Amino acid sequence: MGVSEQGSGGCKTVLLAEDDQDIRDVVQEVLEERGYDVIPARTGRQALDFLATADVDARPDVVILDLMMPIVTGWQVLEEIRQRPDLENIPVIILTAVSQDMPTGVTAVLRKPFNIDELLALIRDGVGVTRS
Amino acid sequence: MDQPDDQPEDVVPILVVDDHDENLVAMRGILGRPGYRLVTARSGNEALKHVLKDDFAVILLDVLMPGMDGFETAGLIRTREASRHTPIIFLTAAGADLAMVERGYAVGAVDYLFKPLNAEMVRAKVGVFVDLFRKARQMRRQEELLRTAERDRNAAAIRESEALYEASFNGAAVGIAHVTSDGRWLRANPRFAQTIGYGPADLLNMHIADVVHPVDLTDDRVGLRRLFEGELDTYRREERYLHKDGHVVWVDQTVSPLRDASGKVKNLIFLIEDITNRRDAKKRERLLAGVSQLLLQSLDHPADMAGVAKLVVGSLGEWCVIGTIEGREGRERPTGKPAVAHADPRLAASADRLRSALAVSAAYAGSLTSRTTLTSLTANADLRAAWNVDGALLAELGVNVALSLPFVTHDRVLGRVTFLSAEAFGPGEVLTAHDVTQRIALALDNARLHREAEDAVRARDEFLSIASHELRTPLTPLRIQFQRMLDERGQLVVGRAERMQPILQRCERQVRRLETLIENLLDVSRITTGKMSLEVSEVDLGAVVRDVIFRFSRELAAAGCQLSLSLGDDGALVGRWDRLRMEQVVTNLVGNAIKYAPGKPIEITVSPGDAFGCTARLTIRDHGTGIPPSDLERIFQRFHRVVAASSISGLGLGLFIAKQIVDAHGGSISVESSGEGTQFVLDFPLRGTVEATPIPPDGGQKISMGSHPGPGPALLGLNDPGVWS
Repeated sequence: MGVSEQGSGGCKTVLLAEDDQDIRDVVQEVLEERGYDVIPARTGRQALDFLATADVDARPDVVILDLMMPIVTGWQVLEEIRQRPDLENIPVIILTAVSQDMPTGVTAVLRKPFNIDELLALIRDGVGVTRS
Repeated sequence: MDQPDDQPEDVVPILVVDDHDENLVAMRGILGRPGYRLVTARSGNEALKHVLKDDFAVILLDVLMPGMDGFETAGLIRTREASRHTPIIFLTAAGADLAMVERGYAVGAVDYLFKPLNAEMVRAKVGVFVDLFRKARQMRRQEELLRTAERDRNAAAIRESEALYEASFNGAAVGIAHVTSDGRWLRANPRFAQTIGYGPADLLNMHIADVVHPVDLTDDRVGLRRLFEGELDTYRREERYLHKDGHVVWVDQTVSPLRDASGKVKNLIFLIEDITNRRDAKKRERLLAGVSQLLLQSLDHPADMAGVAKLVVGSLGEWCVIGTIEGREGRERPTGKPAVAHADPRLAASADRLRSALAVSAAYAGSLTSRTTLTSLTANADLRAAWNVDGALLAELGVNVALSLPFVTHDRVLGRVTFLSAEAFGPGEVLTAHDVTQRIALALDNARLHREAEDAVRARDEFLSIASHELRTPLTPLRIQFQRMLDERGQLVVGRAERMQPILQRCERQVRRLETLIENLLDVSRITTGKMSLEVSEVDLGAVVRDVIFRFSRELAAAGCQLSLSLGDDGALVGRWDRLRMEQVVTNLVGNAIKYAPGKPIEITVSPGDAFGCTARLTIRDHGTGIPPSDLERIFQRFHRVVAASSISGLGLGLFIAKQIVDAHGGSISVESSGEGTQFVLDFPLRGTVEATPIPPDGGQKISMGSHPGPGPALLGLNDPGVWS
């Protein structure tokens, strides 16, 4: 895993919705080492709450979304994002441990256990997409 | 001619007619000898009287007599049939003229004797006729004997033929009976009577309408009339006769006319053969094939009982009621409304009323779980008691008998079928009813097995999906941690030991997590194959609980759960248990409490389970949202998770494994739950079954855990390493 620098233009924000604490912690650590602002969410509910309250400037540049989460699932979060015009173009990277019922129309789907370099590359690309 | 009885056979009567006594005396002198019986007459009239009474060998007749002379007398003798050929010898004076002699021959004389009589001549001539007479008489007698012998022979032949006829009639293997023109049974052979349950004599007071089914008799009417009118020679038909006890007997009936000497039809001969068995067998075959086909079509959903009921009516009674039950043993309830069918579509309204009445009858619901077979009950009284439905409704059905059989498979009652009929069920029908019932039972059992197999497959698929998810989750941070320790060339990132330590610690925790998961899977495999064993030693329940709680410190803190432990003050509760398995049980239950009730207090109590020191009790109570009542029954089953798979992680094996371990220790586990939380109560024996088994030489006491019925590891694929790759 190489250390790559984040592009210029200040901190980019990543919303990380993942119910498993071990995964959440390690991904957060890696992203923070790369200079991202990470907003961790333990449930789909927390992710939605953040999206609902955050103003335009605090809006995340990329959403990393686990599908199987308690209380509100990743599917429900995805549904909500699609219905919000202001989040229309936000890149969504799906993390999942199951192989059936994959969502479509997302930036990428990563199957657990995934390669962290692949995730970092997708986030970099995603950030680029939002910028253009 | 019959001889008078007093006359010896060889004595020959001779009549002598003469008006002179001296001539008669002379004739006695000449002919008075043994073997001759001389009858004398003094006039023609007297002679005729004798001729009427007697048959003479020869008549000696004087020609010249006062009054009626010899010729006249001879003429009259000849007019009588019996004496037409009796030889007559005229007695006349010598020198009679030729004309007189000719006249004598003309009236039938055979000879003349001239007076004075020559004794020798008389004797010779008479002797000739006596001989003739004797011969003729002998011939007649022989003829008579021959005739008698022939008559006797004929009589014997007739008697023999009658006996033969009687024997064939009585011994015939077909039923034979004669019917008069007004429809009464004239005679019946034993087979005929026996076919319909009567003695041969019983039928003689009966009418054809008492025996032949009314519907068939109506159809027969034309045919029988045409037989009587001579338009038909035979009339053949398969029809129903009514047995004495009321059930229907099918016969192959052939009727033919019985004519008198003049050729006029007097009676009818009925020939019957009992074809009930043949007909029943054919009917049973057809019916059972239909039932099987119908039942096979509905294997994957509740069997089509309405279809079956509809199919059997008409063949097995007029009404059919089928009810099935569902639910666990002891808590069965009827599966919806019963299936009710009737052969006559016009009675659809009654069928609907009966269906509705049975659907709300507790007595009927209760009867569905009964194992009793009721054969030919008196429908109205018995059904009213068994079903507790309105008597008027039962009267509407128009049934007299019922046959009610339970479906039993694997010693479980699955429901009941009741056949109702106006007429009694024959033995063949009862057999068919049993067959139909058995096929329904088999179909229900097949459907149940099919359902269970489908459930098992679904549970396995779900389990594999969950297992895959659960195993991939700890692998994810593990992989990321390893990636963090290597650079893009695959070289170890050096000189950052202080950073490596937490990474490695995390890795170690992930590996332990994986180990626990795999251990749980293997436990299920061991339990289902009966290979899990207990290694017992002296174990303090309180100590086990304390150790487990200590290991949960970090999780409890992370979840914000306040845990309180009460060990009581009765001293340690020590039993002979498998310590690691006990820890596993407590770990599963505490882990569940943290998982399902985060941020809420958890209370654990260890105390004596009873006043006699026989059991130790462990109580674990959380204050979560509780378990829905519908799930409470099933939470100790494999792969059952209370919350949908998408929200809470876990294999759903913890409580199943916990219960198996508790059961293996001879203990018990129960659960109570409400909206304010869930409480598990576990009782372990302090002494008892576990003690009974001697400790094997390897030191540990091994107790095999009971094999669990249901899909084993082969079905789960737990033994197949490929599943997890």
